[in-house]
Amino acid sequence: MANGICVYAESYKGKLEPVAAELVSAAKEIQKTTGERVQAIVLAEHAEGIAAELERLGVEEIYAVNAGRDCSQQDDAVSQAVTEMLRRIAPSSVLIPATPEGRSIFSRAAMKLGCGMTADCTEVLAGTKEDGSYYIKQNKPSYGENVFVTIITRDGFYPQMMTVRPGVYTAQEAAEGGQAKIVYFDDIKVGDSKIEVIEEAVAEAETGSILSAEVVVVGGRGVLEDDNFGLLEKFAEKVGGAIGGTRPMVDSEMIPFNHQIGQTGLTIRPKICISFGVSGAIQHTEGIKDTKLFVAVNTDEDAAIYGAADYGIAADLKDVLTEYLAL
Amino acid sequence: MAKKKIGIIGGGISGTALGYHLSLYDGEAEVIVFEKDTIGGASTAKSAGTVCLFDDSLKNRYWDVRLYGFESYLKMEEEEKGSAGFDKTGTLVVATNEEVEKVIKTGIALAKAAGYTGEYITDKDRIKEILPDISTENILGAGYTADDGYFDGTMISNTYAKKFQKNGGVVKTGVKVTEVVVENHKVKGLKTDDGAEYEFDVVVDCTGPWSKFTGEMVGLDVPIWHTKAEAFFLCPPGKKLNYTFPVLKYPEFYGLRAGDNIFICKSHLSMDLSNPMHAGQWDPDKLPATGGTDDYFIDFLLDQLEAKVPGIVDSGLVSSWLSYRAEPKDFWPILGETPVEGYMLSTGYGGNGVIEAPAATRDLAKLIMRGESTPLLENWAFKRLL
Amino acid sequence: MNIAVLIKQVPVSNDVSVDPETHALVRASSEGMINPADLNAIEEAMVLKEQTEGKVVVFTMGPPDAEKALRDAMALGCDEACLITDRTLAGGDTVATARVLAAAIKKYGQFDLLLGGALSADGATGQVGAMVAECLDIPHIVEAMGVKYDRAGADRIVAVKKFHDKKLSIRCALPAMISFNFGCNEPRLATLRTKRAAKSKPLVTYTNAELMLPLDQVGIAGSPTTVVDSFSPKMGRKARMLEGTPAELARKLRDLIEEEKGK
Repeated sequence: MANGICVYAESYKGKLEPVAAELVSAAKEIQKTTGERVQAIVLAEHAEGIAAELERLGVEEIYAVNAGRDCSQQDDAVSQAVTEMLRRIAPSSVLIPATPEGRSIFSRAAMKLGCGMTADCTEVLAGTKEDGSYYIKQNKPSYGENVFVTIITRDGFYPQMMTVRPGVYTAQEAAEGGQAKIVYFDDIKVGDSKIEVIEEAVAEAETGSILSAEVVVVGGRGVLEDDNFGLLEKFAEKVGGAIGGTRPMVDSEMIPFNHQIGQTGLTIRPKICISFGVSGAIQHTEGIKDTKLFVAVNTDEDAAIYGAADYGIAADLKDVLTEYLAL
Repeated sequence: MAKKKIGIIGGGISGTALGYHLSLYDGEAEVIVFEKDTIGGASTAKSAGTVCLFDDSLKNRYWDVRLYGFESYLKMEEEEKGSAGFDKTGTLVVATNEEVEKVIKTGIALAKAAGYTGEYITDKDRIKEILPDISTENILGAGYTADDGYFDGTMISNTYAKKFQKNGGVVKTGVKVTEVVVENHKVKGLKTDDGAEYEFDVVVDCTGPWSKFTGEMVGLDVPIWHTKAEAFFLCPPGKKLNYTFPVLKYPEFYGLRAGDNIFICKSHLSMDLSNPMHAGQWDPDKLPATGGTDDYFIDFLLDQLEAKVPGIVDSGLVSSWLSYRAEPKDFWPILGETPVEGYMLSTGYGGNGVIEAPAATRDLAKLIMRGESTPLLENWAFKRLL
Repeated sequence: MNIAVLIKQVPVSNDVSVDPETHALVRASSEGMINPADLNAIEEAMVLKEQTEGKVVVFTMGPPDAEKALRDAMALGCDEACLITDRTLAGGDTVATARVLAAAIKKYGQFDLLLGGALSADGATGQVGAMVAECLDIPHIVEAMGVKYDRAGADRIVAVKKFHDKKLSIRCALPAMISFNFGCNEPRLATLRTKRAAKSKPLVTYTNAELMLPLDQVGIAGSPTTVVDSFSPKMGRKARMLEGTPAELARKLRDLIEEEKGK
């Protein structure tokens, strides 16, 4: 019988990724209902240190493979090894961080095992079936957070595999004295890969294309006064964001047209958008979509932009910018 | 004396302009504008905002209406630059036949009489100087004025709304009117989707393409048809034009600049109302913000631009949108009283809302506050359609 | 180099909600468009096509009107298109979908490279690319920023990918599957002429009659996962207003930004 809530212990350069501690927390929540052991799988060049970190988080069973090499990005080979590990461990569920690495490795594993995978869960809850057995309710957003769905893995398909969004669960706190059963699969090897990292450079700060920027700072009418644009530029630099603007900013030539946002300009999809002095008339908000965090700063409490933003600051943008730069 | 209570359904150019004009009757009216989305965010937002002093999209019979709209917005710009979104690019109206030429020359005469510049150019080299990408084959000439350009309907609506509020008017956004209360064939008030109820002496429908649905709330059949206004945003070859693209008008289409891009739209009067691809009765709530244009429009535009403005025919297609021009079968707006007492219309502007709303709502406000009619209201009265 | 590009037709607007009674999706409009990240993939394909010889075939699985997305892709320069459409294939999860796409690619012909957008604007799972690679037993690199191709190393490609705070150059043997993040390049635009020409470019339709996939492997029946409930969060996405002095507001703003960046 498949048993155990298994967390993928994502690691980077020999250290456990913080999101793993969050997933341990989520696993322990499920454990309260199902009573299963909380497990972890580690696959790293040197797994020992990571296993020790997991033990301090209160993981009860740790399964590890020492890759013997840095196999980062070699997801064709890694997924093969991870799948073999899962076949041996036979957990009932696998919690994976919804990160590029998690998605990449486990998409292949899910296909190999034919068990499917639910992406980017914001909540994982234990449910009870009619016959008393347990299953996991996998809640996640869709359509840019406009719709939330509950997904389950159908009967007969194991394990229940899901990626969990980082930052949703609180990290389990480390404590000394944890006692885990640690198993090394010495016979599972990370095989040859057709992928090879040939160069590792420091990533430069995003310049130029506003479309690929993770953070965009948008200026509207309100920025046209005084030296507010100068403040906006410094703010953008401080948060590492590209600058976009609505039509008035382009008309007064503060920003070029290829940074104009709105129905007649570009549609941007940054992770984070902070707008200053943008009122939110439709041709402007139509240009900002699918953000994870949208904060609007506008003195008018009734500005339409507050219908689109996640947070609002009804204050003078000059004051807010000045204070922010002083932080 | 009791204040007159007026409820305006719709916060586009029509509703906000009307609210503003009513608010000028100092202390005599209590007005609320109800907008289910954002001010000037629906049909108004997709309007090109062109004035076109020499054009016939609003027949010269109503020249004064066009002039009043133009000058209202110029005054808005004088008060606060950018509040009407004016881009003074100049306008070039191309004469492809003698009939069009006559209309343009009339327009020039009228514009000059009002103190604006205008000239009819037959020198093809001069026309090419103004718009290098144009083809001067098969044209008789073109009317040109440097005083003209285009406005931004959404900005104007928001400016009207602000002035209205300054004068004591109330604007409610994100609020949908769900019921108009009628007792003994007379309007008593309305209800909104947040559960609130209001008492009004007069309720005015400023909902444009939604007017049919709004009218159903009082059992009124508002004979609005929708014609499709299909538009494309083009990114010119080389990404930037090295000249100011003027508002460009042909009988079949018109264009204007939008930042570094060019906005091209199919003209109104080339619509065939009996063609279900051009005209029908649809649901404006289902209109997407972008996209939605029909396939035939690509062929239409390609043929038109290849022949008339070949310099931009190989532009990149940045985006497109579709809007509904709402109007009755005679193409004129519907203003004023209806068989339901206290229920009035300010709708059917058919793509000319931005230019017609100032004069139309100025007169409508006078009708509401004083019971006095005007020749404009009489020409555009609902009863002509009965 | 023969390239297959996988695209998805997504709603123009994510303005959807769930009917509380029927649980059906209520869309403001049914207008569809090519998934934005897929446009970046098409752009990479076009650049590679310009550097090498060969053709670009664009694939999509969807309802019959997904042909529009394929014609739009051909207006950008893709040479041929393949529409996979069949009721029995519809409604599948990522596993079932990947099986169908892989089968269609296998049936269509030989490809050196498969490209796609990393995540879709509606489902945003980011899984299908790697799953297709698994079905075809080829390596994959997902969420890349770009690719470089060198004639001298014709059987390999180099992808550039941001990982943690590093920029990695990753070499991969061909055939391979690579997916791209939204915004990693500036997609070219179609023109009126290319749109007209696209109408007569070759488009092949596959139903399950051509693919012959077992019914328990595809569509709803072939999906290991299933949606059992759906709902819309509270209506009216009103911003949570932050309070305080400008200094306090600045601090709150910084905390929000840092928290989101850390995710």
